[in-house]
Amino acid sequence: MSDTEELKYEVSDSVLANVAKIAALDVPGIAGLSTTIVDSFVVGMSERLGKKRMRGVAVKNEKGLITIDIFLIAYYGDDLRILAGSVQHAVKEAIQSMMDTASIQVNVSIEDVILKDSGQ
Amino acid sequence: MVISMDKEQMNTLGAIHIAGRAVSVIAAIAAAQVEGVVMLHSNLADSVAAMLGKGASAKGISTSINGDIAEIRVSLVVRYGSRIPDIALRVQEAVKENVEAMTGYNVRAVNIVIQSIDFNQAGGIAETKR
Repeated sequence: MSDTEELKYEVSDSVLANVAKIAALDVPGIAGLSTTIVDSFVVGMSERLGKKRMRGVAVKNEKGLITIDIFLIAYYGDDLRILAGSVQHAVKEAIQSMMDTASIQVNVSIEDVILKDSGQ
Repeated sequence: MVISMDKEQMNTLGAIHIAGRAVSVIAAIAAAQVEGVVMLHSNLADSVAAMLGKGASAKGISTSINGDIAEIRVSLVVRYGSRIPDIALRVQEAVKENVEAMTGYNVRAVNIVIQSIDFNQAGGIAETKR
């Protein structure tokens, strides 16, 4: 980075991915990250190139626009659309609390559903 | 913009996407809870109780999704002595209701295949042996 006039910093994609992951797993109703699907997910979101993939999270950081694709496993019971919305909010807030950034796009994909262990 | 066969909704925060596999699991759980359904598909050796374990199975279910619309095929094993058309109808209703409520997909078709009949738990009805 040649610009030395002001404080410049970069946050690496893997940091963003980790922050997103922790925030998403904190949302009630989320069981975990979907790892295997991401790799075989040919059609769709992760196909757009230039993204660093790791463990169910794909991050693209381009000129202030951060795009996060996150692939999740949910617990059975809730409306998945509402759940996905909560994840979007949680991830966005977590990242914005750590760095000033103009725009974040959080794409949530619910890949799988499981039942909670405690019997129904 | 995004080429995907599955449903994707954009809002101000980004896209939401629910995979066909998730739909299948929801359908499986809904179907397994219908009275008279012993299990889904013969492969699933454990009874309905197995569904309560970790990693709910979507065996016996195949889902095809096109845009907003989902079509679901359910293969069932039913208890001997129960009226099959009634069970099939209840499974259709349960699957449609649950999937639509949890995912927002329009369930256009729930096709039921009765794969087998279970004689072991024939509730109250004497088995006909010769």
